[in-house]
Amino acid sequence: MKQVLFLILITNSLTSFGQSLEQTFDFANQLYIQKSYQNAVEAYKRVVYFDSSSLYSNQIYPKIADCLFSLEKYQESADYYDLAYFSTEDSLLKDTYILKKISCFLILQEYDYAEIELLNLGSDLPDSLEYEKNFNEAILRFAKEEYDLSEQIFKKLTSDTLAINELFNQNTKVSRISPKKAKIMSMFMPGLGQIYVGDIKNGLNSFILSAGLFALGLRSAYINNPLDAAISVLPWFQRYYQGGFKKAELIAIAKIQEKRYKIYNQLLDEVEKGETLK
Amino acid sequence: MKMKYIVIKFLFLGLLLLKNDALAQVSLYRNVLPNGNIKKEYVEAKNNKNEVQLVFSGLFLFYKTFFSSQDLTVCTFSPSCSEYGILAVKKYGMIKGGVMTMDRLTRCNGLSPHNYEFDKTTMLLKDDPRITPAVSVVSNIK
Amino acid sequence: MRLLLLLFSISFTLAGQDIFTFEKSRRYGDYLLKSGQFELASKEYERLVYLSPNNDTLKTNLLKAYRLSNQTTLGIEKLIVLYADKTKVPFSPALEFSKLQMQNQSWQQAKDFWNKNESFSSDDKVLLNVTSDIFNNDFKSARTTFSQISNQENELGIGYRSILEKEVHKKSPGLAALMSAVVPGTGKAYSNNWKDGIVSLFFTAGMAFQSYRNFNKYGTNNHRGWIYGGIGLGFYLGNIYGSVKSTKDYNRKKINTLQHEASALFNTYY
Repeated sequence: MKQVLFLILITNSLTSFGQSLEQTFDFANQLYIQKSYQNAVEAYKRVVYFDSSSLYSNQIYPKIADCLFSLEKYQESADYYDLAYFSTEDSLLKDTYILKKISCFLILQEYDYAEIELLNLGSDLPDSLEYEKNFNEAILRFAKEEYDLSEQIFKKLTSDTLAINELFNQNTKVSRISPKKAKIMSMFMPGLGQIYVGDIKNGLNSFILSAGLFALGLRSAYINNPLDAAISVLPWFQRYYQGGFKKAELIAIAKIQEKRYKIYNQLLDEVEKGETLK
Repeated sequence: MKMKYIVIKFLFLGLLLLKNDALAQVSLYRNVLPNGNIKKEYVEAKNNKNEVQLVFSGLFLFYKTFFSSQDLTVCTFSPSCSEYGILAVKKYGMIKGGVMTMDRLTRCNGLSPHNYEFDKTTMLLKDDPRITPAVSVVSNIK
Repeated sequence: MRLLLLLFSISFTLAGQDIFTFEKSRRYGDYLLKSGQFELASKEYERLVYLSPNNDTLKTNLLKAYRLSNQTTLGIEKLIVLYADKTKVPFSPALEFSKLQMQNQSWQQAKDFWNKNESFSSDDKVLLNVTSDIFNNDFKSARTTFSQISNQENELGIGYRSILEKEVHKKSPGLAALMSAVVPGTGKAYSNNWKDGIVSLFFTAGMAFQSYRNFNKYGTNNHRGWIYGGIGLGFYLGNIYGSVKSTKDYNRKKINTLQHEASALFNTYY
């Protein structure tokens, strides 16, 4: 008898830590504060399941979303911010969740979804949210290649507008690089387009390969006969000639991306500097 | 006096923490744009165990850097024919690996895509010499 | 003793609005299992089994959660904890454990388990043996085992019989190799890959022709003929290898469809 009682006591006391709905919720919050996000999500999900009258759901959904955001599960996080959005009536909170969702979509490189969410934002935001909105929008406009708009918004984020000006001037120069031009140049002379965008190694490589095959074909046509040359060398020449000018276009696109990436990160550096000054 | 000092210290620490939080926020956005890196790294040519593998890895790297880099993606498979070649030679030796590669070159025609699994990320057909197609166990035992 | 009783009653009053009680945990576990959150479900059932160590349904669900969340080794190791005597495991957890073993592809252990188990009837044992043989691609053993079935009218038995009958129509890799050795590409055509066969024939014949032309023109002392000949030989050998491989693939796919059929039958029966 005594042993059985003991056993039941022990099992009861084992489970009695964080027992009722409220206690579990508090426990989950504590896990959240301790940054034990995976465990916090599990506890929160349990509360949501047993919370039949939806007492806690408006507090829990944003918490789960925050946890998932910290766990770098951005798609799931965006879904939970969506649930959070619909669980509250407070317009300020709604806007906060939308901003968080925009962050998720930007990190996922889903620019169109981010833009749609931006349209859902309320018109007059408090200062802190306004700053965050501008930050997100500046990035979004840059990613969507609307540079003039992006420049205006970036200037709102930091006091050092000269630096921003300078960076956007560099960016206009990048816009002048034309992948099509590189392609056409490489059509006339293999490798020229690559050299034009600054990739000398690939330019020389393409030139030597195409010219070598061309010379080999000529030699074969001269020594043997033109038909032999056409069968054995022409397919290879065609392949690397065509490959050369198509690659020139791809290399140009990659170069533009590389340069934009660099400028973009310098812009973020400026924003960061502005933030630390504040 | 000491109390004040402690309070100020904690406030200062809190301020530092806050600032770090804001900085961490910006760093999340660093890779929102594609970085334009199209350089490839060829892990297939690494970890050579003998001279034959070393020679073939050298040939593979030579082909990849000077010829394949100027080419379009013409191969219908993932891994591509040259990668298949080096992987097969490494696993089965020069003779069997070579024969397998010759077979693969004739199969690289894109006429019978229904024979292979499709890789959605690269939009290519899957055909890896390292994986011996065992009879797949029916895993959907409900 | 009195103090203990007091504590005992307090611990139960506290448990009144508790969301970790046995009943609530069970509901939550069922929900997790049904909604496909198998890993969470396995944690929940671990707790439930701890709270109620003699409930077979809970144990079955625990094993199921382990199998569906692909934690097969964990599930297999768990059985010894759940049941001290492997031969006396009741039917439904035993069946669940058999599935776990099959998913883990440990065929021999699986057979040992159900052949020694007392909850399975002799026909059950035959059917499980045949199932694992079909999944393991051992049709010869499947046939000999299947002849031992006592109830000829068994639903699953009838299905398996037709599957075993269909298995005979296979193609021979040796014949494919021979065909390709005589005429390049025909071995691949034999295994239903005629497009690849034509390409092989084209490659090999083209190289042979080029080699022949160069030998004619420059003699055997020139490198050209040898180079083309060498590449041609490579394609020729590659094609023989490829024919064998493609025939094996053909057989494998055929057997795979039969295995899927068997799996569907197995799932509806058990």
